[in-house]
Amino acid sequence: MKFNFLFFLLIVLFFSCSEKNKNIDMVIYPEYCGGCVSRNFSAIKNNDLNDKFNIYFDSTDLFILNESKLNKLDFNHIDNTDIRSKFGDYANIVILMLDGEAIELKTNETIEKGKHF
Amino acid sequence: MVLNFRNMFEKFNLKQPNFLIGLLFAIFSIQIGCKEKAENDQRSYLTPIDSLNFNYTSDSWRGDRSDYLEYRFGRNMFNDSNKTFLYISIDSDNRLHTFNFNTNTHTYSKQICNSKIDAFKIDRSFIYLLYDSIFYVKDYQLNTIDSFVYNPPNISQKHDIDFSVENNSNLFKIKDYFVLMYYVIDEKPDGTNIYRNTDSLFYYFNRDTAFFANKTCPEADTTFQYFRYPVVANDFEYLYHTPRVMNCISKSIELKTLINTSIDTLKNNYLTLKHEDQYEISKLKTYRFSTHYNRDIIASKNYIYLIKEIPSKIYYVNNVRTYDHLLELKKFDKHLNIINTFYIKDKVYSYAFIEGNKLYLFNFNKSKCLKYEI
Repeated sequence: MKFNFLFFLLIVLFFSCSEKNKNIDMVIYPEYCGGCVSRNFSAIKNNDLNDKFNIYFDSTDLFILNESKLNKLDFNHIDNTDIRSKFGDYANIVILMLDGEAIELKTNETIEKGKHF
Repeated sequence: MVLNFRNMFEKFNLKQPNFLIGLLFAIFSIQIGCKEKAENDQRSYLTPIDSLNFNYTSDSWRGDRSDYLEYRFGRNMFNDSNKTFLYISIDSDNRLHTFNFNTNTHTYSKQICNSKIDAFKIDRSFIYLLYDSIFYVKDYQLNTIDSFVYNPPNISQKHDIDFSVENNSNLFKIKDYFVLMYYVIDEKPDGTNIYRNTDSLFYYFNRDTAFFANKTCPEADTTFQYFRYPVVANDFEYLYHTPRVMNCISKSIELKTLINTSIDTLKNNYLTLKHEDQYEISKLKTYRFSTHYNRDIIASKNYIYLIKEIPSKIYYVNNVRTYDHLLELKKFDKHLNIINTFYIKDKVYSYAFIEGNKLYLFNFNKSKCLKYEI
């Protein structure tokens, strides 16, 4: 019984830890650069970073939706009208760290480990 | 009357000091409100005298979007002999496209060419096209009336013919010359590129000769212009041009720039942007929405009209910076002296057309045209 409980606890801890890895929010704002979305979604796929990010965008935008499908990325839908009130007044692609720091990607930047997160 | 006033006096308890204070406060508040209203009403706003409804996305519409792809190279609008508006453009498949505002029908020609069209101009009689290094003059049935080999400029840097989706054309005609603009790319040692206009703004050409000429205002040489392609219009004799974000409007012929003059008496309505800030969309957005922005020039027989987008109100909704804009229409004589300034509250339009003293603002997305007297 004790062993089963410990085993169960370990499983719970394992899954909770793996969920904690996905602790960075990435938000695509209504005013985005199309090339930036393509380039950064590809970078996430090619560098196996999908587990790191909770990606938010308005999925009625077919361009972003298709780009996310193309790169097999999970995402969360958020209405464009709600993005600013929830995540702040930015534009393009914004990376929000757990400590509240927000990094707006410049149009000539691609997401990079060590630099942006 | 005296009795009624006494009744009212007693009824409202005017002897009570609290009531009197409240009354005074109310009067004060109303006065402040009136003062603010008077300040806001300093601008004389134009109100539509008529409107026209049409159906731009009728069954005959074959395009994807009504607001971008169709006028990448040029477009024009005419009032034909039946007083029917016709909107002519070239779509992204290189087909000549005509929309009739009376019948709400779109008609499309066969494909003009398979190549990329580098420059395009349309007038009442002809279509002027540059592709495959040949300059063509065609009629509306796409028969070639004239053509000659285009003589491109000799520029050592990376360059190309410029165009803007906001201008009605990227090809202009002055007397015997056609006029284009080129952009050049300055490659910096740090790896960044700066896209800019050529030192002389316009490239004049015809069958026999070709040369660069004309300057815009001197401050354009020392400031970074993010919205690079100036607003340009011509009246067959002269070119009228202004940078998108600069307090300056100019008049040029093929020999020289004749006039450089200010648009506004206030100098700080037009903002500047640092080159490095162009990569941050939130800064670009703030810049675009906070500055005065020269959107259109329309040259009529006797006057020049400049349409500007200007911020009218900046406020916060749930801590989000929000902007209201309006249109400012400046009427100049042909020497670029300001005659009058008008304001229009609705800033969204797809095409502006002026005939006589009537301004027509067409909104293709809303399928509505508003008519103003100017």
